[in-house]
Amino acid sequence: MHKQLICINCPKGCIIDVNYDNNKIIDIQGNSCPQGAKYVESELFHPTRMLTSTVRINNGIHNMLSVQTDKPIPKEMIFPIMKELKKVKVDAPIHINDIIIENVLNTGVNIIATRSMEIK
Amino acid sequence: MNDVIIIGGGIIGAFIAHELSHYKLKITLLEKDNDVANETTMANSAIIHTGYDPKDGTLKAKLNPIGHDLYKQICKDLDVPYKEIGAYVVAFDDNDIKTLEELKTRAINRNIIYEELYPDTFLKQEPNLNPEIKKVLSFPTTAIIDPMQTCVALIENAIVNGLKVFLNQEVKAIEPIQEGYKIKTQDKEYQTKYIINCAGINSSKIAKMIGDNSFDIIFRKGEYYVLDKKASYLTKHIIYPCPSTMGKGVLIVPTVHGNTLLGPTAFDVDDSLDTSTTLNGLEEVKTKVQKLIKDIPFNLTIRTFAGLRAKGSIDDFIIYENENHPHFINVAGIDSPGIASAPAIAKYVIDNFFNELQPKENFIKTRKGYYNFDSLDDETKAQLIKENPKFGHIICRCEKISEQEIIDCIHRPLVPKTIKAIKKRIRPGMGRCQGGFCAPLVIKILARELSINPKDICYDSINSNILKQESKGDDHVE
Amino acid sequence: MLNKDLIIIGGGSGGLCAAISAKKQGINDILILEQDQEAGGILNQCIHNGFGLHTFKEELTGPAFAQRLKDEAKQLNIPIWLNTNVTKVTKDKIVTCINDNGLWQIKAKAIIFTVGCYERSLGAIMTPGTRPSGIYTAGQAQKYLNQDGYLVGKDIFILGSGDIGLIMARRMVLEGAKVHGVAEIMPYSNGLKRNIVQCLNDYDIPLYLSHTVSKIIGKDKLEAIEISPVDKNLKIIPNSAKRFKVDTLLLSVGLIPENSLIQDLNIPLDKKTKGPIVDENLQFYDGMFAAGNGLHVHDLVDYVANEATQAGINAYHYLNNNLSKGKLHKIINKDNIGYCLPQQFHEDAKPFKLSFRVTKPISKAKIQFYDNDNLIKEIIKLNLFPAEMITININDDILNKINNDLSIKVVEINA
Repeated sequence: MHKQLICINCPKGCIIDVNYDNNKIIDIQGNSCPQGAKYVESELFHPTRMLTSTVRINNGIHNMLSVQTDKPIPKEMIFPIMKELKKVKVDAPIHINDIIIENVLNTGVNIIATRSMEIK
Repeated sequence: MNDVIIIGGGIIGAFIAHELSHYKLKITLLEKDNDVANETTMANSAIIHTGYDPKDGTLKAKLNPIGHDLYKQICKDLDVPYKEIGAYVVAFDDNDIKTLEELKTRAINRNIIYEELYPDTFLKQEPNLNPEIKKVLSFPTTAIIDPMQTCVALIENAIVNGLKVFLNQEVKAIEPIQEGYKIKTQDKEYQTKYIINCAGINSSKIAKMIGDNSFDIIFRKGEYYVLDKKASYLTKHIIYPCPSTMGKGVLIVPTVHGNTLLGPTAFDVDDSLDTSTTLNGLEEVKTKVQKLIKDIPFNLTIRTFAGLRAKGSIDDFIIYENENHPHFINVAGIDSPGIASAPAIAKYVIDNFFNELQPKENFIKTRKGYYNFDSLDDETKAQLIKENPKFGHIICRCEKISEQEIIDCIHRPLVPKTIKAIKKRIRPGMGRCQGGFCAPLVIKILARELSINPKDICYDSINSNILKQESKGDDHVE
Repeated sequence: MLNKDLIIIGGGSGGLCAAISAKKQGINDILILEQDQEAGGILNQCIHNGFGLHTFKEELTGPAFAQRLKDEAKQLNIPIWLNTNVTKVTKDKIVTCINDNGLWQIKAKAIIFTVGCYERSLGAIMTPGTRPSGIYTAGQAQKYLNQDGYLVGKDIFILGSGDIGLIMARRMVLEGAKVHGVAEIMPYSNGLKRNIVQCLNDYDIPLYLSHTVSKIIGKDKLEAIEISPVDKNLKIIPNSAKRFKVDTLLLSVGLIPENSLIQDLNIPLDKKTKGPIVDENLQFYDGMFAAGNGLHVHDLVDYVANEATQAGINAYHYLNNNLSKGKLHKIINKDNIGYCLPQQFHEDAKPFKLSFRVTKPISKAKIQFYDNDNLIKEIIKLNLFPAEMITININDDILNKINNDLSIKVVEINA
């Protein structure tokens, strides 16, 4: 299989062409450094992302509290976790880094608050 | 049964409603949009011309000078801005100078104050004017108003004096009945003895509902730029080129709020909904105003917009009572100088088409205007905040409008329910950020004051809700 | 009248950093004036991560970055007046402000302006068409979504590929909207590569380079938009429009420093940065300093933090009569330089950091410094982008050679 990726390790943004099969890279072109190859490997076989989002909050100065995953999650878990966040409503006060959902969908990742919010 | 139904809540309908509210009559105003002052009244040059321009013998020539002279007192009574800043009509060549002579003759005949100025004097007054200008005909009593505020103020005052206003009532059919007329809107029926058709760009459509095909309305589009207040150094006066057959040309107009308007173009379109700006139109404005003042800071543009003037197929105001349908009065084709003539149009309608009206003994003449907090001195500001801390909470950063001013504007006889209605009245969102910061706050204040869900707050027309759905709310549909 | 040693106008990331550093230097009598209901500024609504790699050596979300600064300011007992709007500043440094407790006049010995910026709106870009509802700046939609919890639409198009536009594309998709595309008038995106990949490519959102919105359609509500390609002069190529049925158009078309207070003082602004003209101490008038996005629009909040921290230090030196003074040398922008900060420096200046933007992407360049026409220094740099501020240390080896004005040029080296 063939894919074209933009490396995001540095501002240069190399466009990398890669041929690969199920679990390994066959050949790779366009990267200017070994970081590029590493990036491509991770993007092809186990892409992960940090997810930042919000949950509802009662009695805060805003209706929503900002949250994030405390570790990167597999890319395919983004939408299932977004769905989980809809089910939650917390109460102010909240302190930054408070755990909002523990081990969300058994990923081993917690959803944590990214700010404190006092009672309005 | 109403005595009078006025169709259309623009500035003409507003003046007529206001004038009629002096008398013992049951009056109703029907407006198709979600707010009054929502079509031509919202998008024009806002000038109270003195009346030198219309040709002799026209209704325009008769009503414009009278209207002009009535404004100062009306604006004072209603506590809305009126600024006599004066106008310059500029001449570049002999042809133009000949036109100025014609205007001068008309001014003399109509008792209009004017002055002839040459570069040594007008360049002192307006140093940014193109130095190629040879001569200026100055009209020092030409004034500017805020047509939206004036229209709203007239209607607010008329409501206090008994007027009923129904918004979102688009007239679909009119049927003569024994005592007068039956008006059908999309969802209601009204009965009335008199109808006054001031439906602006839709007025010929209304007239045709009773089979009157005697006039048509041409939709003449005008495109404008609005410049930031920082551009107010450009000119103190309204600057006109010499007039032509397509109107008064492309102007530079200071607004009562300190912005500068550039425009309008004059381009006839087929669609009464076509208030779109165009590349060509904006380019035309740019080219033409740069003839008047060479160095215009277009980078200070905060908005461009277009409006439609309702030009009649007959080259004058079209004001008459239908011969086959008594008490059906058309007030149509009110293009420039329509706003300037409006108070006189209202009086003309009453003098010509109504008999033996009984004045109200308890007519309330004055109305308290908006606070305009930012324009007050520090002492008064401090005092107002002491009386009501919400004056100390600035919502619109650009125009410096406080929460209390918005609350005051909401709780008035004609309740503004939309973001745009608030913006038209007291200007949050009219500044350089165009509502980027304040609109979310205005939504919250509107929702709280009207006790409705923020999701039901519209930008303008019904269904133009801003907040479409809660991102994580109970209303979420998968 | 109240008296304060230092007033900071604006309690966003810049204001908080300036206050923290001024306090640490030794200014005790500080007051921050903030118009919002909480300090932290725009970071509070930028819930995505990627902030703070330079300042805190870790990747934080916007609210978390702001929280650290708010917590530190609280710990240092720095007073912040919230919901307070500054209406006027005079040249003798009397600040008038209002809040729900009244109208206040405060005489300051020094003022730091960390006033931030606002988003360019539809009016400013003069797109042809009607003016219906459904058109918002990206930041406004971001506030509605991230703080108030509302989506402004379900079918979205985004004009402008700056980072806010890209970030909002992803946010809207994650919350259930469909983003039909992003148009960028330039032949390249001004957003970070990472955001192109993780915000657009991850969700198959097309990016139309060298395209702009050529028409807005809909009387009351937005019904559709058209985009058209543009030529080299950024003019729309006629008869090539592509229509998208959308209910929302988000604009990410630039930020403008908010400097009406300074303009009211009749102090001229830099035409390029739209901020005040500062010296190497970030001072634009005696005892008045500027930093953050009110001075010029920064790429990263880390740079705002650095600059504002420096402004706090400089204010301290000013109060102790310890700032460089004397004759000013101008810094003149020549080939390929968009703008440059500071715009001037004192003849007895200590070494300082000079920042500039290039006007176009350049893969390899010589950066040249001239004293009038004499080349005094040359530096080779790779991968220069307009979206990325370049910072150079102006050390004594340059300063000692300057007798006149300092000119800067970026010369492209062809590979």
